[in-house]
Amino acid sequence: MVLFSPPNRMAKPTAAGGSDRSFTTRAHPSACCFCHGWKPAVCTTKPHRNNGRTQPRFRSTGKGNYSHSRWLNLVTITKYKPHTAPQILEICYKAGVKVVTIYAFSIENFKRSKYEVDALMDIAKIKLSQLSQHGDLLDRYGAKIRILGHRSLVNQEVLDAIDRATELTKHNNKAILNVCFPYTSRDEITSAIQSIVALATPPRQHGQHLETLAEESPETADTVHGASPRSRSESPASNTTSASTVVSGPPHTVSGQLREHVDFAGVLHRDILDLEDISEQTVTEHLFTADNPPLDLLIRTSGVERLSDFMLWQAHQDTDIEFVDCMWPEFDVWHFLPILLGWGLKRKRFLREVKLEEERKHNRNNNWMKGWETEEYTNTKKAL
Amino acid sequence: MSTRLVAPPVATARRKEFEDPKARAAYVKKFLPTDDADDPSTPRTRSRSRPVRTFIKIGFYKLILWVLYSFVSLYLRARYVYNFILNRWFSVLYYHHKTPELIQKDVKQLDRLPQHVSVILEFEKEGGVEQLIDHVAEISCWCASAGIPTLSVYEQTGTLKKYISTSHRITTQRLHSYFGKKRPTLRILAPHLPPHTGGDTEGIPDGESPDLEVIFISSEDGRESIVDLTKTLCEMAIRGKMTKEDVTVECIEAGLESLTIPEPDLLILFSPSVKLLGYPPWQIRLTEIFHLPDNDAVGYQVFLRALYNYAKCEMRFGR
Repeated sequence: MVLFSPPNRMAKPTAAGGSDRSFTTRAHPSACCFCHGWKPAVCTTKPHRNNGRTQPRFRSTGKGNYSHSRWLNLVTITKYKPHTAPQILEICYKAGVKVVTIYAFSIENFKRSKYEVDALMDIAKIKLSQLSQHGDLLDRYGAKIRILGHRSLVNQEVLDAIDRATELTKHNNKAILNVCFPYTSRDEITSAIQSIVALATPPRQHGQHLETLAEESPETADTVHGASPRSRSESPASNTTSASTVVSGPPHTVSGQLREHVDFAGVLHRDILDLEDISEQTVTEHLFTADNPPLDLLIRTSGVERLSDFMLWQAHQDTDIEFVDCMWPEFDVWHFLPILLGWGLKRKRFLREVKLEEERKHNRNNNWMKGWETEEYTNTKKAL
Repeated sequence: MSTRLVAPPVATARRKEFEDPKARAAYVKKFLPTDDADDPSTPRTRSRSRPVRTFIKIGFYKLILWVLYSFVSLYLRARYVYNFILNRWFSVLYYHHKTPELIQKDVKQLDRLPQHVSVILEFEKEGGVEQLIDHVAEISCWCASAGIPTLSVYEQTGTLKKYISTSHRITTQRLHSYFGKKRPTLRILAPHLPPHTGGDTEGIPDGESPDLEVIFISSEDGRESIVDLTKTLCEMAIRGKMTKEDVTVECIEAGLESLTIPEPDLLILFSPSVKLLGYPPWQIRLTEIFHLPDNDAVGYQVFLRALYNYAKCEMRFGR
């Protein structure tokens, strides 16, 4: 599978304190042209602590090295080690990793020339159809493919290819391959917040519900009509909590049922009645990766030590982040295995530590007078 | 010859067997794979033979895993020793001697300096708050000497936020010992708390920022601030001030910047591996993340190497 890169050198705002934080790609001749050392950040996601599943995520990003002229580059993409991703994927699935995510195309990549973007789209189309063939890698390991990203930015042809690929592998349920296409983490968070806002807003805003209600029972509809302008005019004066309860309360009770919908990952979303119910968990559930286990390991290739807008929400807590100084096409078993095994070692050590701590707690509860060997405890913790 | 091809000779006893369909079925059945559900005797024999096989299989795989793990841990240990010696070597070669001029000399050859540096510090039980504030004071001095105007300090539990005035006092003392009488002015901020200047801004006209600004952040400025912003946006939507379509990246960015910190240019970790420990997610999109593998201490050499790495500048041993 070919993975291409989000722009490697996204221009950084130069002055940190500056007010202008607009995000423009610097026209750097070598950096801008079709960069495709796809550098993956392979990341693994961490399962819940008690089940030992893992989930790596990759990301591919490019660098100018493979691409000093764009013509040469087109050749490179297709010819240079086309097996990188399948190889890594195979290792992951064999090792029992449940979810692998690959960063294939960033929204920022649309800032490249149309020619480049079109070529990338074509390649994506071909690779998607190849990957999802019956009996190919994904079928063998029971993996379903999912495309995460902003669908409206892609043209219809590619969308069809995406849908076909998703449809073909839908029945597989042992593992997941996420391909981020076109994706940025900020966009993901924004769309999550958008859908939360949509769920928190009462249906009167949509108009349709009101009309149907008015036909059925004019009395209740009247009260709704009466209520909504009043609450609007009142709202600046009234305090926040009362505004939210007043407005969100009646329409729901009038309509009698909550809006529900199931998203593409099979997660059920309901209307939010009380704003205090919104928590970190709510946002997490509205992300593209809602039903995936937490992220364990994120590998970023190409020697650049930044996340480049990938999995920010998912990777900023307990995830191990590894920066690898090689391009994505060069990234092979010998780069990947040490990282995976090193992660496994760390995990083992961590589990041992947790177990030790639990035992200690248990001991302390049993005979709390004898249980204060703080020195020994810190020593063992240090040794670990 | 031709007769043989048409009808091969079959023994007469066999021929009888093949003529009778029942006998034929019985004959063929011997060669067919047995169905477990039909035959209750087969699973028992299978379960008897399997444990040994699976035991050996699992043992073999475990052995392979063990071998792989031991290779990796050997490699990690070798890397640890190498990095340990290297770090020691660097810390001997590059030391600030509490002299701003030396730091300036170290930094002078860099093409670009980050305008906003962020560090992640961890609260350790042994060192306590004193050690934490000590680290903050040291790092602020290095930043002031190198000419970096903004420093944000992330500490997961938020302990630092309770000691703003103490940190300010200790940091000014440390700045004094570095710079002498003409020490840079300092302001310490934390989101949702009033800024603390400790009388530093008396000489400065309004609107002008002090020489060094230190921002304390904790894990509640990460996800929680995004959740808070979501609640605010929901409220506004309920009141009809905005719709779902008004929620854009720019809108959230503006909201978050007023709630927490601006995007840092460089994030320095003093831990042996990269773990962000809940650092504000929205802000680290393009931040360069620097860490030294197998390093476990807050030291000047880490800070300096981070700056060199940021400027993509090669470090020459010695001066």
